[in-house]
Amino acid sequence: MSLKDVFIQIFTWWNGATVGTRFFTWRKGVRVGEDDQGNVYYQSYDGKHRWVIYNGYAEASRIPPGWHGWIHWRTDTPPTEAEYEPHPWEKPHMPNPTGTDQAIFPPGSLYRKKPVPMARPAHEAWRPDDG
Amino acid sequence: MRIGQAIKSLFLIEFVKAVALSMRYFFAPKATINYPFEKGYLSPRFRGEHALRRYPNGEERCIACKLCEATCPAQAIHIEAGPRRADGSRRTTRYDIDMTKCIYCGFCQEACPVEAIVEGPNFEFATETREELFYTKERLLANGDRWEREIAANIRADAPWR
Repeated sequence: MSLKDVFIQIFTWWNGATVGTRFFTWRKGVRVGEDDQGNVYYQSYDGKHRWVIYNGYAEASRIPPGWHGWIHWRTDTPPTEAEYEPHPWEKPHMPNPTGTDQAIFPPGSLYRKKPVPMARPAHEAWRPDDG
Repeated sequence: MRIGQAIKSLFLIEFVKAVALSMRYFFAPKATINYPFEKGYLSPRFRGEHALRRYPNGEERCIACKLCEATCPAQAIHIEAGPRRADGSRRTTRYDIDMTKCIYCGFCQEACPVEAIVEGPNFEFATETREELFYTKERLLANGDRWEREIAANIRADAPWR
């Protein structure tokens, strides 16, 4: 671990976890499981706290469905133990893409790199001849 | 009265009381949680980001009945229905929700006869631009495909009360 990494770990909260959270994890954390992005989920010995250490950027919308229900206390069964057969049409989880290149804009938006022609124009321009 | 005042001033009683109060709250259990690492309780009835669901065989549920559009108090939903198909069913050609108008009342999912439009558990869909909040049908169906696991679990959890 280089000096830069040490400083990043101490002074930023958006890379992995803060030092305080890591200390809390070391002191009280019981590993519950890991999702396919590498985020590791913990709970305390008494089960009163549930938390996640992100693998990389600490962005709350990276928690996939399944773990989302567990970490929001809707279910006590972590998805690693739950029986769930995904439908063939289900798509993999996507974090909130806003601010990245993958941001989703509606067709016709000028923010799109390649504007998609709309099915019909959003408005009909008025011409003086129409009266 | 005056002696009481003097004693209070002399021994800084108010200061001591204030410090005691501060210390009590300093050591008391905290109500805050360590977001985004720890997250709060969320009901199965929570009304978050919208999604259009599919039947287990992959067929989209929405039949373009426009009940959600009619009931929406903020008039955030816009639907255009396609022609009736060969099997007698009808689908939307356009299903837009303006999330900047939506007030997350849940009337759309209450009105829906086929449980097509639902408000899922996701609330972390804040955007940098306004236009990203104008949801199209593709976006809503993709939401449904991504969140089906949680949406189905929530509907199952709430079913005994319906």
